[in-house]
Amino acid sequence: MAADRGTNQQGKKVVATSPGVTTWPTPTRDFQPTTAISDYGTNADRLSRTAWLDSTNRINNDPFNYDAATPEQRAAYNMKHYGDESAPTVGSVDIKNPNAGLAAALGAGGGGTSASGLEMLKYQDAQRQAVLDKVKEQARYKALQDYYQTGDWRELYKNLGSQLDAMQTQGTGQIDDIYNQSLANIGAGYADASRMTGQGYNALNQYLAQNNLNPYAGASFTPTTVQDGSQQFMQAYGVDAPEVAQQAATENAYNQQGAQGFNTMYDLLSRAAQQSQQSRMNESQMAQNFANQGLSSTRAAYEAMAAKSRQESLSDLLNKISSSRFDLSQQEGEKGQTLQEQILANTGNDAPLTKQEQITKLAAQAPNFKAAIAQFAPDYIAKNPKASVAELKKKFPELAKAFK
Amino acid sequence: MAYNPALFEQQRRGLMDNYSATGAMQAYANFISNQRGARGLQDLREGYQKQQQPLVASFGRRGLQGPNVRSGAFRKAMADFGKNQTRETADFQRSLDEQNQQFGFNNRQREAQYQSDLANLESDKASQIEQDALALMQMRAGV
Repeated sequence: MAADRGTNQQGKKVVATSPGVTTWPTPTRDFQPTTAISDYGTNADRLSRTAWLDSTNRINNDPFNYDAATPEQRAAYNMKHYGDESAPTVGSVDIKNPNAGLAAALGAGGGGTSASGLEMLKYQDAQRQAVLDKVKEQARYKALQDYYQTGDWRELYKNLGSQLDAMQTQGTGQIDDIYNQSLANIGAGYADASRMTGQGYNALNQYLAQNNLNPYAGASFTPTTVQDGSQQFMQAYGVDAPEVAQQAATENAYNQQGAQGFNTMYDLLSRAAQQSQQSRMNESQMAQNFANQGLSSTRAAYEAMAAKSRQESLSDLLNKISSSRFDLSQQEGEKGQTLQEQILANTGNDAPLTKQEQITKLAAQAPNFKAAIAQFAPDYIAKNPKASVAELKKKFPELAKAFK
Repeated sequence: MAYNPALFEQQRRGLMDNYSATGAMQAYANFISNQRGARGLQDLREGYQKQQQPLVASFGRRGLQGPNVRSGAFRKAMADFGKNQTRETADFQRSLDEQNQQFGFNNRQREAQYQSDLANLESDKASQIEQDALALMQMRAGV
């Protein structure tokens, strides 16, 4: 019996309790649970009925209460919607009333229990999650395969290899710069040292040339000539004494011998002074030559040291770069090996979804039935672009059910 | 030791000062010695002149010398006198000559030593510059 705005479902008069509202029935008696049960049944009965009606409405868009129906009515309903007198089942769940377990779990009457209701919910969630997981695995496998086949994973190693090339080029350049700078410093130091040494010895040579003094040059000893001082005295007394003149001659001869010895000594010292001066000049020349040779040898030694240092630095750099390249190549090989192993381990995850899995996936991901059917049967939609929702639901009932 | 021109100039001034001071001192000593020697030579001559008349007189008193008298003894005594005077005067003069010559020789030796010291100084300076130049080159090379 349908209720109108003035009566409730039992035909009782309803009275508005709010000002201006007159359509609510006026309570004629206090609420009595016992009377309510006798009139309307238990809450569980109502829940069961509601569950049947709601579930069949959602699935088939045709509310149906299995509890209130006769076996013939149930068979007819099942044939109409499931093509079988018995309702199809998925697993242990009766598809004609997938919420029966839930209704039972909530205390309703009927064939379900509270345990089977929860189990149904878990099952549905597990099914959906399994499909989604499979989709994820497919996507992951495909992404992994694409990642490996496109070689994107090699980019990191290529970049690192390029950085090693740059490091080698830069390091070699720096080593060469240091070497060239060292050579320039050595050359400049040699030039300065050579100039200073030349100035020092040139000053010495100039001094020796300008001060070529020989203190003994021209030195000679001329003794005073001995005179016969008594000659006048002798003549005054008429004495002729040649011995006196002879004595003077003897003294002069003696003086000459002594002077000759002195002059010989002067001559010897003069020549010694000349030799000494020449010796100094030679010494200066030799010292200057030796200094220049020493500077040249020192420069050659420093240049050799710089070259050796450069060679060692280059060798060290190349060894490090080579070692890094080897490590990088090894890591790249290991990475490729790991990716291959991961692909092999995930082989099989690319298996296509079954029809039911596709439906479950679309039910979980597509925003509505039309969007789902566009993905589920794109060819059909292309051929029948003007197909109505009803036609589509009829054509693809299982997918339609998933969206009820 | 890094090259320091002041040190070499200080040494040069020291050598010059020493050379000048010793030269002046020796010149003065030589002057005094010559003066003393000249006086001694003069005294020697005067001494011999004073002995001439007594010598002749002693032979005259003995009749060995006089007008138309020329004895052998007188002649020999006169000859010996003349020889002694000549020898002693020569010895004295020689002593003076050698003294002057020794002074001149010492001066030349001092001059030679002075020049040698100056040359050594210049040689040391050049050698020091050479060593410092090498040290600078080492510093520039970063060794």
